Amino acid sequence: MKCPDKELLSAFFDNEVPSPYREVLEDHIRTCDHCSSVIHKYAKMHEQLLDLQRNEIVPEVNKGVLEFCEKKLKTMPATPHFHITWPVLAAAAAFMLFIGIGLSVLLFTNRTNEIMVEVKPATTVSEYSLSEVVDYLSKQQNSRTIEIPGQLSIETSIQPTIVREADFNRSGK
Amino acid sequence: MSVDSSQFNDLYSAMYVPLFRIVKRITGNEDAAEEIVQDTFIKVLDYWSKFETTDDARYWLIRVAQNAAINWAKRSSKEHKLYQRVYSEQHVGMDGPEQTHLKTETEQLVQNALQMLPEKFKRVLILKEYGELDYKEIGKVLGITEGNVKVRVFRAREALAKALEELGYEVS
Repeated sequence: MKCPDKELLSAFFDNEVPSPYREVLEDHIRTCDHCSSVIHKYAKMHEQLLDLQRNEIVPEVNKGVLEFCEKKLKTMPATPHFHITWPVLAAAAAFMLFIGIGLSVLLFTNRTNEIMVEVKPATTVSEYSLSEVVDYLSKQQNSRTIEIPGQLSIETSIQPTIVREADFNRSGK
Repeated sequence: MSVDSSQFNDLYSAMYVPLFRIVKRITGNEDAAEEIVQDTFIKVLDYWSKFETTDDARYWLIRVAQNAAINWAKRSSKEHKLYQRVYSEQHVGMDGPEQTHLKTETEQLVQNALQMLPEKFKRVLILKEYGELDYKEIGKVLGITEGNVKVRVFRAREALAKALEELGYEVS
């Protein structure tokens, strides 16, 4: 069997290689001088590192700190913690997007209707209905008053209807 | 997690020693280690309701304590260098905080070799050897993948072996 790389041997030393690979490696290391020396090196360093704390005295658990923490914990309000997961967040974002698009479409449609309402069809006035023309002109914001001379020197028989009507209205004021 | 003092008690009892050892290894100072560990336990209460499981609280504790220890060591190192520069004549050969309480020459050698490692290797190796964590747990503490932990532990070991050899200690 070809020797495994050292990275795998390091994981093996840490008991991080699962079965059945672990057993295969064990068999190999038992018969391979090179691999067993690598494991031996790791074991030696491990021992040396542990030696640093062997004579170390760990101070006892500080009861005062523990009591302080327990007291603080008891005074904390028992507020439930809501954990927002990614799918929930994505669904909320999609919902907000849907609502946003819906509102935009609705507003756009209303605006279009308003514009359509504002545009009124052109009023058609019959050629001989002066009252309709006057009525139409009076509704226009920028209507202009057309002054027609009071004295008409033209013959009545040939006078156009529109002039006679205007004259009639003026004289009636 | 709910406000349950028994859960906190269990966590405190289980984590006090490994946390102290991790911090002590980084700072090299017993008093500082004790203070950092206690501060971290007090701090964890502010985040208690945000943890879903005790394991989350455990990983948080290790991460925060480790960062606090690294900051302490950096600060201490700067102060020590400044002190040495000012009083170099009177204090030639004075040991830094990480060199105190070392019993034998070999222990000092190993401690020095450990300090020579790049920060990311030192962190992973300390968590492995003194925190008694597996690759998955180390990954959670450091925020890296299990595969990445495997590679870092291996490289840290190789780097430590090289550092020890440079210091004149035969590993293999």
